[in-house]
Amino acid sequence: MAGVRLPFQSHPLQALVSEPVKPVLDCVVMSNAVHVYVSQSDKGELVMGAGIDSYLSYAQTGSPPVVENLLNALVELFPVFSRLRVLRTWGGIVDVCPDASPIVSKTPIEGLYFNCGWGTGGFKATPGSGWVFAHTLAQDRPHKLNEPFALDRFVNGYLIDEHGAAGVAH
Amino acid sequence: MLLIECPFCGPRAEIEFACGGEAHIARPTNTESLSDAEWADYLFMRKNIKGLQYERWNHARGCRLWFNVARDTVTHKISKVYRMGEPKP
Amino acid sequence: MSNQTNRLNQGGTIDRAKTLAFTFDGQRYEGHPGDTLASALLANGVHLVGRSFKYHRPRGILTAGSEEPNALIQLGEGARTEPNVRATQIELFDGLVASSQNRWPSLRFDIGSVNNLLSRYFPAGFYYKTFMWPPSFWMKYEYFIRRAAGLGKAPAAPDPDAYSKNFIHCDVLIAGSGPAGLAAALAAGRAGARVILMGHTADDALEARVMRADGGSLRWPPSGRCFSPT
Repeated sequence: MAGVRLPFQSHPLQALVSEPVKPVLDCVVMSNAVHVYVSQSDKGELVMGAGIDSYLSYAQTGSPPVVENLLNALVELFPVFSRLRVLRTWGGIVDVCPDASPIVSKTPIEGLYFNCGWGTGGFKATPGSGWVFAHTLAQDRPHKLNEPFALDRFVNGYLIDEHGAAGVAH
Repeated sequence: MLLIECPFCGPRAEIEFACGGEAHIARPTNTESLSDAEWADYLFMRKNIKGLQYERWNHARGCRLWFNVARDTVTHKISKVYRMGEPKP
Repeated sequence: MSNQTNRLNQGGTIDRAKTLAFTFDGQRYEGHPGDTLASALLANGVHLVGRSFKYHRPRGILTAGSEEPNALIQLGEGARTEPNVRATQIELFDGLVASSQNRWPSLRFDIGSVNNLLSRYFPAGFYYKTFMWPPSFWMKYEYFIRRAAGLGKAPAAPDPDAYSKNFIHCDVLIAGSGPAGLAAALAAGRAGARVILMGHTADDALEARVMRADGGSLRWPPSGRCFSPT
């Protein structure tokens, strides 16, 4: 629209919930070794994810082999969960940058700023990214914290490789 | 689960393949005279189409050969599989 | 027929010649082959089988199939226990052990039913994270909220069972082997499609229904396979 090219690829990040059960898991467990993260919601459902389809998709579902790998990983971590049932699966479309880091920056167009490309790591960063983005908008220059996440890092080569962050698509 | 018809091996489940991203991107031959922005364009910028997209796939757990696929990124319907080097349908 | 006060003397698809013993909430009952846990409980005059999720209102058996919203049962014990199984879908077997869920200390006398008295303050869509004052007390509130939520209990020991996996492809996959599914399977099969018909009834019952659906003229195809439900 504004003629700025972006390096995103959109993938479905999958998640699923189990049937609601009485408290059985008291914290979030993330494993890089077997690639899954799981926690139990206050309603009793086990919420888990980490699987992302490797090809482009806007379908918001994702494919079964990804769910299967996720469940294999879960049962390897917690053999007691093997008999629980999956209630619901879904996929959210995430825009992933080549270095798996977001773009929080000014653009060549005056008055246009980007805060995007969060890929699989969006939720947790919302308060912090909102704060530095507000600074960028208000002062028309990036905060020290979001300076490296500039759009032109793909041109000057200063990529921030976060593919291995937490070892798992988070 | 996608069923992809490898031009060499026939229809196989998607778990046998690896997706290689957007197709028909020719590597520039004059890389030493490109500017940083042009090089970044080749390396990183992609169309990311919602709809019919042309991509390359590799039969990673089979014949390990590359081929092209015309696929809709919303319905996942594969309209054409064609060999590397063939023009866009 | 022992204490099966509601059991009819004839009719249905159960085998009255054989008796199966089962236990529900520690109480021993009897039923027959062909019963579901729900039908056996009803035959024995047991109507209260659970408590609702939030308000802990008394719940009985509402339906005869997979649409059952109330009779969610903790099936079995130990490592093979399964939570949230519908009593209408459990095929009765000898030695079956089942218990009701989401109640304490017992189904008849459930402390959780106090939520029902306060139900006007906990409307539908009530957000569990409302208990935010003072902020430091959230962890204390959450302790009780978590225990009030959830229905059945997850097993506390690793699953001793092993499972097999099948990879099959078809042209048409039909979910549900009721009248609509059977009609669809027949139509698709006659059109030459490779069909998978999935239902949750056992082999012989399904085959019999397929035969009846076609007026008895259909032959169960030699390539047809039946996967019985787990």
